[in-house]
Order: sequence, then structure tokens, then C-alpha cells
Amino acid sequence: MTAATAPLRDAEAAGAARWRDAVAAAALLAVDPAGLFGASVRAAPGPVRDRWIEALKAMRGAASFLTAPHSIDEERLIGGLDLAASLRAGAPVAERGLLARADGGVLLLRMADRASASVAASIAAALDQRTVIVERSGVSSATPTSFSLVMLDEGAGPDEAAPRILCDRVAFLIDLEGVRVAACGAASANAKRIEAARALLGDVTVSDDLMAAVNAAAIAHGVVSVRALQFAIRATRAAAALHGRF
Amino acid sequence: MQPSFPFSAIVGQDDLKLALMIAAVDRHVGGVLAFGDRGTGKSTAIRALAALLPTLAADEGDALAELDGADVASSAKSGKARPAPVVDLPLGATEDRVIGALDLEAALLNGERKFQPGLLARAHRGFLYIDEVNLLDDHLVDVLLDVAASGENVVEREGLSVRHPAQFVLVGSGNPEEGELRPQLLDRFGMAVDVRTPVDVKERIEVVRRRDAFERDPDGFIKKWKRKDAAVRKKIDAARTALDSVATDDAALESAAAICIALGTDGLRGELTLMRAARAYAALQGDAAVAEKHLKKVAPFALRHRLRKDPLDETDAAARVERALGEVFSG
Repeated sequence: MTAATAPLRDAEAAGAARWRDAVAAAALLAVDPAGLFGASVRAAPGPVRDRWIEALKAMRGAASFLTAPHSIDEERLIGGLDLAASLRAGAPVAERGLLARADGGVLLLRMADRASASVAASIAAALDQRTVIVERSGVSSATPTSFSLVMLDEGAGPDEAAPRILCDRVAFLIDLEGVRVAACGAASANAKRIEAARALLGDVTVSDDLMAAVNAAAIAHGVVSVRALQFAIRATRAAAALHGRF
Repeated sequence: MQPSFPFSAIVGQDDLKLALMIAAVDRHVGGVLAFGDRGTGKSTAIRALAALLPTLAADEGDALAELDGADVASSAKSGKARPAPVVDLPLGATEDRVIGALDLEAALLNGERKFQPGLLARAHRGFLYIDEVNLLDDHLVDVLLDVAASGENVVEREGLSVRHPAQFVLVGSGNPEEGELRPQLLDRFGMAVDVRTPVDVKERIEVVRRRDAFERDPDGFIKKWKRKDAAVRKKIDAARTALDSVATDDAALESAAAICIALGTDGLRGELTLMRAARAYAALQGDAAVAEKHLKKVAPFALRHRLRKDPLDETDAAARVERALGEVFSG
């Protein structure tokens, strides 16, 4: 082994480890989508990112996956008046926005690093309240919706990243940089195992000591937000369920 | 809509909870702006308060009472006692839904010109809640400022000419890092509260535990906290009744003025808000008169967002208020 290939080997090992973590996160998301809310996946568009999405799809079973472009306008996102249908029917006909249609499934936000503040805030509000409130163009409604958000962050430099307001509201920030296609193995858990874990989830207990330890670890890493602590605890619980532990 | 987290189950955030209770006791204090750290439960607290608000009497609160019945979409008029409205102004709300507009159904079906009331009509005598208030569209900010100042919503659009009372308490939340608030809008909020992330381990764990318990079994959790919430509701009701009889003597008025002078706050609104907030707080405490302790407690709420920027003074707002209180009440 020459000196030149050693760093290459290290980089590959790091990439492989990163991939394993990313797939593990996807598995946890599949076990507790309602509690973990989703992830931001930082990667250039390409086969590695596609494989991750496929892994998530395989583990989520029948859940629907809808895609929103970063430039989606508010009307399409939140919903509003279907003008053509209204004129035909002679009465206001509402059009369900993407946030309502994503109920029970996953919303993929493409080029999330380019999403506007108002798109981000609308999605954040829907995540917080598990409802889409529409007050526009003669339509007034509150539609329950519970979805996972997966942000596809294609940012390059440190200044380009998915909206902070949304990153705060998802459990995982995944970085696939440096992962090579060859390292992308199969999903770590199949749909059946996920189902078994979901059934177990409600019974898993987390002791105060364990919570304090997770808290200490978070603070040590400079992560102060209580929301982040909550996600860490829930991820721990999902992991325990996945391994059949209470 | 999912049920809201019980107010009394909120861990910590005492300043925010107190400011909200003061706003519920006396609408004239002018509402609350909760700004600060992310994930601190600002929106949760505000929605939780909604469940504790006193009901309106049958004739109170109907913004459309004076409008000719034929001109108003019939579903909008009410005739019985109802809970005080807490209306969300959602992101992406369009102007027509906020101020009201042509009733599309009547227009499309019958070719009639009728007024469909908007959110401002619904919020009359209640609360208007704006999440991420610093992201609000400029033209909606203009509408709100205009209505807040005049207490009236004037609609001149789409062939309609309608005017109705619109008096509501403005409550907003947001993170200042996301964008600046226009000073005129900032001034409209009676009180401003800085919301911080809890630091104590036990407190943090308790926040997580309660949130998890609520999500797991919302109805059971709400039931557990029902009594405590009922106690808060009673406290607010009692304070509202006692409010007018709380004495504000000259000494209190002078102290309030002195604090504002020491801080160099712009205009009179700060002083009025300070006195009203102190009175509401005294009422909540069951005290008969406004005293130094009441002024000291509410001064940061009422004044921290009204300080004239002094380019030579780098101290943060809260510290400046504390300093002024120290000057007024010691020497």
C-alpha cells in the first residue's frame, strides 16, 4: 500500500460510515415519522441521494411521497380556490394544497436551500399544528395533515443551507458528502422489521438518568434547543424499539 | 385541529404566561409580542391561553351588528354567548380574507353583491394571533396598523363599501433573527417578552416528558391539568371583575412617569401601558392598589421594546429597564 492510497482508504471508510448513519436515520424515521418529523439531506443531486430516498421509500412501506419544488407558490402549497371548478359549479370550490395532500406520507422539498422564507414558514406552521389553515381567495378551512418532511439540500458553501426554521423542526441533518455509490448498500431494515418496531414504540420507556445523559451530551455539543433534546430522546426510543428493547 | 396543550402544564416561561394573563385581564394593555429563541413554546403558550379566555356576552363582539342584514353573508351573524375568539392570521393569508371581500358564492350563484366578513371581523373583541409576525407581508402590516389605530375596518373594494368595528388584542410571536419588525408595528404591541430556552436539566427533561405525555394521550393529559387550568381561568375572571376598583394613586402615577423619563421612552404610550399593565397585575394578585412591586414586575414587559436607541449605550434593553427601576425606586 503506497502512502497515496491510505488517505483514499480513510475517505472511503468515512463515507461508508456516513452512509450507514444516514440509512440508520432513515430507519428511525420510518419507525416514528410522527415524532421525528423528517430530515434534511445535504447532497448534490445524483445516485447516492437517490439510493437514500429509495431506502426510505422501502422502509416506509405504502406511504406516499410527494415532491415540492423550492419555488412552489403559496397557492399550490397551502391550497386555495380552484377558480375553474368554482366557475363551473357556481360555488367556491377549494383546491387542496400540497401540504394537505401529503397527509400520512412524505413531502420532499427539492433545492431546499433555495426555498423562500414564506414557503419555509408555511411548512413549519403545518408541521407545528398538524393542520393547514387556509384563508385566501374566498376559501376558509383548517385541514388536518400529518406528514414527514425531507428537505433535499443542494447547497454548496456554508452560506447555502436548508431554511433554519425547518431544520429546527426535523430530527436529522444528514450529510451525504463524500459518500461513494459503491458504499451504498441495501437498506438496513426491511418494512416488516419497521412494522414490528412501530408496534413496540409506545411501550419503550426512557429513564430520567438516560434523559439527563442525552441532555448532557447535547449541551456538550453546543446543542441547546429543547426541541433538539426532544428529538434525541425520541430517536433513542425508536432505536430501542427497532432492536426489540423496552 | 388538534387540542391545545394546557396552559398550566407549560413548564417555566413565567414571564410569557404572566404577560398573556395580563392581556386577557385588560385588553387595553394592548397585547403581547413574544420573541426569542426557537423551540421555546411561544406558539404553544398563546394557543393554550385561548382555552382560558372568558366568554363574550350575547350582544358583545358582533362586529357586524350595525350592518344592514341584507348586505352581509348570513352565516356571519351570531346571537348568543360565545367564547372570545382567537383568530389565527396564517402565513399566506390574502388581503381579501383578512379584511373581508365579495361573497363569491352569492356573486357566482345569484349575481348578488354581498360582504363576506374576514378575519378582522371574526377577531373583534377577541385576539388576533400572528405567528412569525416579522415575516408578515408589508401590505398586511399596513392594514393591521391602520385598523389597530382606528379600531375600525373600512372596506372599499370590488364594488363594496363597508365599515365595521374591529377591536382586538394583537398577539405575535417570532424570532428576531428571521427579520426586523417595523417600529410602527412593534409599538402596537403593549407588552414584549423575551423568551429563553430553559437551562436547568430538570426543567428541560420535564418539558420533554410533558410534551411526550400530551402527544401520546392528549385527552388524558388535558384531563390531568383541568383543575389547574380552571384555577387560572378563575384568577383571570376575578381580576377582570376587580380591575376597575384597583386604586392607582398619585405616587404610582409619578413613579410610572419617572421610569419612562429615566428610560427616555418615546411618547406617552409606554407610560399608559405601564400603568394599565401594573393595574392588571395588581388585580391578578388580588391587591387593592398599584404598588412599587407591580410596577417593577411589569416595567420590562411594557417598556423594553420602546427604548429609543442610544448609539452610545450598548447595554441590552432588559438591563436598561432594570437600571431605570433602580434609579426610580431607591433614590
